[in-house]
Amino acid sequence: MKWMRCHGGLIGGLVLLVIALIALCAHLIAPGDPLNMVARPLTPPFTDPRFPLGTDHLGRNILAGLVHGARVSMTVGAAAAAAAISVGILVGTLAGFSGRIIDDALMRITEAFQTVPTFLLALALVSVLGASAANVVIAIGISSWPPTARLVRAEVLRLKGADYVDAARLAGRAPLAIAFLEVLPGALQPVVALIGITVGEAILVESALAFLGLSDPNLISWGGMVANGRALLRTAPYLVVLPGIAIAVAVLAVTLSGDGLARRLGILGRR
Amino acid sequence: MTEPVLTLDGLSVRFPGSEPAVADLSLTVAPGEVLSLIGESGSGKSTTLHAIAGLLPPEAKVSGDMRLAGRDGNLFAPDMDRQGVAGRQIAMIFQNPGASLNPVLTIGAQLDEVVRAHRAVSRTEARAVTEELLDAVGLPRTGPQAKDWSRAYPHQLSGGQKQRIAIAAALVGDPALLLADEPTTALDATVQAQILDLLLRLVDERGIAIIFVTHDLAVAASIGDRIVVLKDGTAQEEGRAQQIIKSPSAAYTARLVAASLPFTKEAGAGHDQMQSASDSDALILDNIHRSFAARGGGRVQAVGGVSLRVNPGEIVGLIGESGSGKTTLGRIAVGLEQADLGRVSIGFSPLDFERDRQAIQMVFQDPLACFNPRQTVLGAIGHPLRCLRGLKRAAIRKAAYGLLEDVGLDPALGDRQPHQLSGGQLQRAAIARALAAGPRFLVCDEAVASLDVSIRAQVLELLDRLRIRDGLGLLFISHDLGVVQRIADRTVVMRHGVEVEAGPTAALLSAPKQPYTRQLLASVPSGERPWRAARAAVTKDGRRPGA
Repeated sequence: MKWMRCHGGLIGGLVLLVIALIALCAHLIAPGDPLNMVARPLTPPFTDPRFPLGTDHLGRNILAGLVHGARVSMTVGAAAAAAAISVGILVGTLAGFSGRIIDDALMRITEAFQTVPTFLLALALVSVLGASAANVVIAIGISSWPPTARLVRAEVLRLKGADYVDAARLAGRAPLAIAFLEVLPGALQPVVALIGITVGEAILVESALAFLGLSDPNLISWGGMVANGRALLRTAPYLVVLPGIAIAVAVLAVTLSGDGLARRLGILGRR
Repeated sequence: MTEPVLTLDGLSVRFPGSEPAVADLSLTVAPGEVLSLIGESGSGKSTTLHAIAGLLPPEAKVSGDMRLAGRDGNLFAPDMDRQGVAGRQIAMIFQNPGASLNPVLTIGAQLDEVVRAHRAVSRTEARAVTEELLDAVGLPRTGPQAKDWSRAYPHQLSGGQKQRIAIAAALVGDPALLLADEPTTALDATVQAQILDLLLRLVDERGIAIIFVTHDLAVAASIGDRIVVLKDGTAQEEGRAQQIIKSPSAAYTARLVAASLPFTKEAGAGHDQMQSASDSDALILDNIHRSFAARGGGRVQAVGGVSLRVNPGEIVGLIGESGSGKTTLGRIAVGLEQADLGRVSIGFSPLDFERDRQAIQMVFQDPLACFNPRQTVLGAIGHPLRCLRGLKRAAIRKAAYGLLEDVGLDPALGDRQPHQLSGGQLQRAAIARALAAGPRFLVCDEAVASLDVSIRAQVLELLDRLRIRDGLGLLFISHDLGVVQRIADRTVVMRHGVEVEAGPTAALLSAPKQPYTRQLLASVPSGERPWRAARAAVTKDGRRPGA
């Protein structure tokens, strides 16, 4: 346990780096369109050296699917989390610095978003907007910003009363300089601790949307692969297990490295 | 002499990758004896206490020999069974008693739990023990101050009452030795006096031995029979309390005694009265009122009509206990807080803080908290130079270096982050930043309260030098009468937001007119007239110290 807490961040970071490299070099590892039918359907894994992880019911190369799916999952996850965190920071900062009325209004809106489960909201949004990678990013961004907003607002409110902010006021700094140069950098620091969780959740939501068929049909994704394989769960379980493992490993790596980063920066407790 | 409760021989504690925190420390405590362990921050006094209680983290390397009365073997031996030591034979109380109380449980429920952990009793029996303990620590259910304390929640109690609860919890196991880690440091003087009284009563009545850790020499001498002086983890001196503070033999102790500024009846105020300046350049607070919205509606009055005047070159002490409104008044004086009523002016013109910001500046209590952790010290000093004095880049750097030298700091330290400086260095830098604005008046809010005594003396000296050289007027807010007595020309006493008494420091402190001021003065541990003796004299069957 202790060993995991010390080295989890490093391992997570390394795994994340490997996944990112695979995603970047997908076209080198598995050239061609992963949606092409290339071999006999349902080749089991570890039997054909050309398709080490076998093929699915339409004869598509699973290794190619996983490798190209990494690209989709990682980009959509990262972009969606970036969108969510940006919106959260914007709303939280505005609420923290503005007066009572705006603060109250923004917080009620935040709570309204928070009462709807993240996944249901994203699902509803994608159904309305249409299934494309960009819309999935927008949907996840809109549905998962509230935790960041609340955290940033709380930090801004705390730091607004800090001694060093008082000292800056006495030093004659302009209100905007105090807000953006004294308060905000400190208030944003704990957001680092949320990055790992937000990205991890975004990857999960993306996979779940893809599982339900609500992702770009022209792009292969892990969630979609699980969905395709579920009908053959009894005869060819590897169709579901392999992309499932990919999702779990990616989310774990992201969460661990986010955690390690936060610990390294001293935001979470050391050791 | 009876068998000692605790014998420590050659205790050394070392944390990985650093110098030993405690090196070869030996001490003994007899039943019914109070041993004061005194030292500045980093002296290893708390580490010693934690080692005795077995509370050090596992990576700490502890060596030495610890013997408890009625137990065989060295308790520091690696395979030694410490079961029943902490909590039973040895109990501990801490500086912040609130931290060990669960906010959602009543006091009674929490104490019952401790009682039941120690003794096999039923719930009703446990509650009876709890009531008994509360009575013993001065929170009785019957009598003039009666209240059903066991039904109270922690947030309904004051700091002193919480410390009493912590003491009650410590008494459950009927300990032979009580470890007290700065238990009165966070408390007001009058409350501190009551807690010290309570501890001494427990010593007399139950024969408990206490190791009392403190940084305050006057407190150490007031409560302790003997004192051990620690520095850098080694004992500098050990002896009877009175002997140590009257004629210290170690050089370090002598310095500590000289730097500690105990409040004394005899000593006069620091300096002569300055020439009384005309109204035209004095800082005048006129009939200041300020109230805050209270939790759950209503308003709490923090300051209710206080008038105050600080002349250039004069130091005015503002004393009072927590909640007296002294900090709020200081914040109003520098414009960090707006007064509901009344005005702040220099001379005849009311201060417009947007325009006259530089005229009056502030030095805060916690030097680390008043610097942005993400800016260098030099950067922080640069702000007032740029924003208030309108200097440009090169000029700012030059002026900031000059200011650092002025307050006795190596200018090279300016490029460091705040956390890389010591408390004393940082407080000097804070003074440099306040001076950078070119103020005529300085509000010091407990500016030396968080500093070690030897550093405190240097900072006070610096402030006094600035007063003489630049004619700076100082409003010196403090709870420490000894410091105010040395530095302030005039003193104002506040309580519950109003002025109780004001006058020249020497006159006010030697002959207070108001009963509250007298009570405040009486509660300061002077160290020179030990309370133990005073208490023993009034307790009929109390044992005399050293008997």
